[in-house]
Amino acid sequence: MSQESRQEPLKIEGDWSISGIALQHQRLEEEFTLWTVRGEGATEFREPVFCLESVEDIDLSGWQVLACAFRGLRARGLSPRLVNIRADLRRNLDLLGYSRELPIAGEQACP
Amino acid sequence: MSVMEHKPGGLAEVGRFNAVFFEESAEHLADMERLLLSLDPSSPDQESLNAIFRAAHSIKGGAGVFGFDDMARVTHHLESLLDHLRNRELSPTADLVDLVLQSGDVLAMQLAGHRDGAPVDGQAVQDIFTRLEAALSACEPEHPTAQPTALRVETSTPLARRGYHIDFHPSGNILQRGIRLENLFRELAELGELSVTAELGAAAELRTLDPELCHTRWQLRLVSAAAEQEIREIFEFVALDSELDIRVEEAQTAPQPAVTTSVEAPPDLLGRRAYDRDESAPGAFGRRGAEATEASLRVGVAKVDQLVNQVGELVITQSMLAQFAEQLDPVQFEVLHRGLVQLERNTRDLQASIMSIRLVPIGGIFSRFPRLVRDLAAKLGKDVELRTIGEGTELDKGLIEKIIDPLTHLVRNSLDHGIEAPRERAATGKNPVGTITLKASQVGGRILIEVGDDGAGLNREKILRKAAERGLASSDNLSDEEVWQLIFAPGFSTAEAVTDLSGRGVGMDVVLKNVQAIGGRVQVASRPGAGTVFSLSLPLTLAILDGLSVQVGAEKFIIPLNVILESFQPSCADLKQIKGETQVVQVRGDYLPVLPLHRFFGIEKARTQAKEGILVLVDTEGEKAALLVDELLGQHQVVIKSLETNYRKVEGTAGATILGDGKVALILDVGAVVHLDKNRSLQH
Repeated sequence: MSQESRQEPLKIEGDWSISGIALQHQRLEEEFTLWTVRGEGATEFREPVFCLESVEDIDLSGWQVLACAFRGLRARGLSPRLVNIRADLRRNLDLLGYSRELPIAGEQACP
Repeated sequence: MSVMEHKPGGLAEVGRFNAVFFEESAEHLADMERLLLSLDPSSPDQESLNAIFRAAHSIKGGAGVFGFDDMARVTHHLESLLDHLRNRELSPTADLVDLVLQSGDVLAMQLAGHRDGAPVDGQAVQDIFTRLEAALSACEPEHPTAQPTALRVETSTPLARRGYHIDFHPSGNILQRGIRLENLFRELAELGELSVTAELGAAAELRTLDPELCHTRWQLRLVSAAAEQEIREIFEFVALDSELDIRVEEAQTAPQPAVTTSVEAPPDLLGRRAYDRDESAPGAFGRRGAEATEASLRVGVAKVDQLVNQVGELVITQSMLAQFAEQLDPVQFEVLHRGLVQLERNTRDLQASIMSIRLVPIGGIFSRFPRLVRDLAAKLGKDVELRTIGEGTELDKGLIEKIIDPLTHLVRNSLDHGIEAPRERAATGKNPVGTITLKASQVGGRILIEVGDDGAGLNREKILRKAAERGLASSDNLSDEEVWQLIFAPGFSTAEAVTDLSGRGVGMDVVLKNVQAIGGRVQVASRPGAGTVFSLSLPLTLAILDGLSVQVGAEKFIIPLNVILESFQPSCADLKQIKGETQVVQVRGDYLPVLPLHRFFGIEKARTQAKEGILVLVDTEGEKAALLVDELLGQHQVVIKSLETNYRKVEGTAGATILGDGKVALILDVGAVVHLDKNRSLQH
C-alpha cells in the first residue's frame, strides 16, 4: 500500500482473503492513522480512494476489514470510495452484501 | 503467516466441519453406487433415479460451500446428466451406468485427496469431465454449462412464489472453518431473487478488530418458489453454531413467466438449475427429502469412545462394590444389597445402550460388493449374482472398518477361484450364473458373517499336494476341516496362474490374521462341485472382551476366549523335555510347545513344573501352544483398557482390565506371546 499525494489512491494489494488478512489488517491500520490525520486537517483528503486493481484475492474477511476502515473514516467526516474493482471482485462484493458499506466511486454513496 | 496457526481450535474447527462433509459425501457416493447397481435398465425406478440425482446434488452443494471446486465441477456435470436420466430423456444403458459409476470413483478419489491428502489423478479427473461433457452434448446440445452467465430461468408453469426474510448470523469462526459464504449465497440466489445486506457488528473498530473472525450479520430477502426446507438445507453445513431465522413474508402468487436473478451466475456455474425450482418435479430441490426430517444427531466417534470408556469405569466400580458387599451380612445390609443389585442392572443396561451407539448396520459394507462383483465378473468373463442377507445386522464401527479388507479378499477369491466359467458350469448341469452370498447374523454374543459361493469347492488333493510342496505338515489322513485350514498358511496358493485379482499366495493368511486380531475366528466348509462357505465369527465389540482369568504366581492374566481350544492338567507321560528348558506336551498325537507364562513375564513364586499346573491350549494365527498357568479363576467379560495410554507398552499384552477386587490384570496378546517366546527360544 502506498500513498504519495492527495491525488493518488491508497493501493490495496495482494491477498485479502482469510489466509493473508492478518497481515493486511496490520498494514491498513498503520495507513488508517495517516489517512485520518490528513483527512481531518485538509479538505483535499476528505474523499480517500482505495484502489483495488492489484488485489489478488479477497473474501469476506477482506471486505469486513475494509468496511471497518470505511466506517472509521466516515465517523471522522470522510467519504471513502473504492476504485478499479474487477468484475469478479465486484460480484463477490455484491453477493456478500457489502456494496452499501463499501461504495464504489461514481456510484451512490453509503447513506 | 498462516492465519490458522495461531488460532486455538482453528484447524480443528476446519477439520470438524470438513469431516461432516467428507462423511456425508462418502455416504452419498455409496448410496449412488448402490442405487445405480440395483437399477433395472428396462424399467428404472423413478424414486431411485431421483435419489441418485439428490445424492450428486448434495455433494455438489457441500463441495461449493467448502471450496472444493474440483469436486463441484465434476458433480455439476454429473448432476446435469442425472437430471436427464430422471426426466427420462436418457435411458440407463450399461455405458451410461458405467460413466456415472466411474464419475463416482473420480469423486471418491477427489474426496480422499481433500480428506487424507491422497494423490489425485488429474488425468482421470479431466477424462471423466470430458466424457460427461460429451454425454451431455449428445443429449442436450445447449446444456446449461454453455449458457450465458446470467442465470435466466423461464418456466411455463405458474409457481407459488413467496418472500422470505432470512436473518443469518454465523458463528465467529466461520472463516477459519474454510466456509465460503459467497457460494452459499449464490445457491440461494439461484432459487429466486435475492437481495443481500451485510451488517457489520456495531462494535467493530479497525484497531481492535480480529480480522480472522466473522463480525457480520446478514439480512437476506429471497423471493422464490422454493420451500422453506430447501432454503434451510442450503444452510445445513453452517447451521451448527449459527443463528438462522427464516420468516415467510406475505405470499406472492402471481405467475412469474420469467425471472432474472439479481445476482449473476458465476462463470463456473456451480449452482442449481431451472428444474430445481419446480417443487413438483421428481426429486425436486436436489437434496434429501424424507431423510432430512429423520431425527438423528451426528456425533464424533471420539465422543462416543469417551462415553464407552466412562461407562467401562462405572462397570468396574460397580463390580468392586459388588465384591466388597459380598463380605457384608445379607440380612443386616439387605437394603444395600438390593440397591447394589439394582445398580448392577442399571449399569449393564447403560453399558448396553452406549455400546449400541457404536453399532452400525453391516449393510454399509455389503453395499460395496455389488460394484466389485459386477466389475470383476465382467473382467473374468463370468456371470455372477450377488445375494446379501442380514444387512441390518449391527456391528461395532471399529470392527466394521477392520472387516472390510478380509471380506473383500474372500469375495474376490470366490469370484476368481470359486465360481466357474459359464460354459464350465453349464457342462456340469449348473446354472451358468454363479451366486455369491454374503450373509450376516447375530449368533449369541457374536456376529457371524458368511461368504459363500456355489462354485467348484476346494480341491482337497490339490491343497494337500501344494502343502507337501511347501513343506507344510500334512497327511492324507487329515480331515477335510484340517485340510481347509492349510489354505491359511502364509504364502499358500493353489492358483495355477497369478492374476491381478488373486493367486499371489498372499491373502488367506492375512485374512485369518486380520480376523484374529479383532478377536474373530474363521471356519471353512466346502463340498466338491457345490461350493465353499467361509464363516467369520466376530465379537460384537472391541471395547469388551470375553476372557478366561488365570493366576500365575501373584499375578492375574486374562486370556481371550476366542484363542482357547481347551485346558487340562497334563500327566507326566504327556510331557517331554526336548532341549534345555524347552518342554512339549503331547495332545492327541501332536507335540505342542509348553510356554510357561511365569518365565515369559518374569514372575516369581509361580508353579514352574507343567505337571503341577494347568495347560491352556491356544491356537493363534495357525500356531498352537500350551500356556502354563497356576490355576484357572473363571470366565469374565472384561472392559479393555489401553496400557499404552495409561502406562506403556508391555510386550505380549493387548491391554489391561480392572477386576472386581480393584486389581489390574493384563490381557494377553497370545499371538505375540507365542511369537516372542519362539524367537527367544531360537536365540538361546
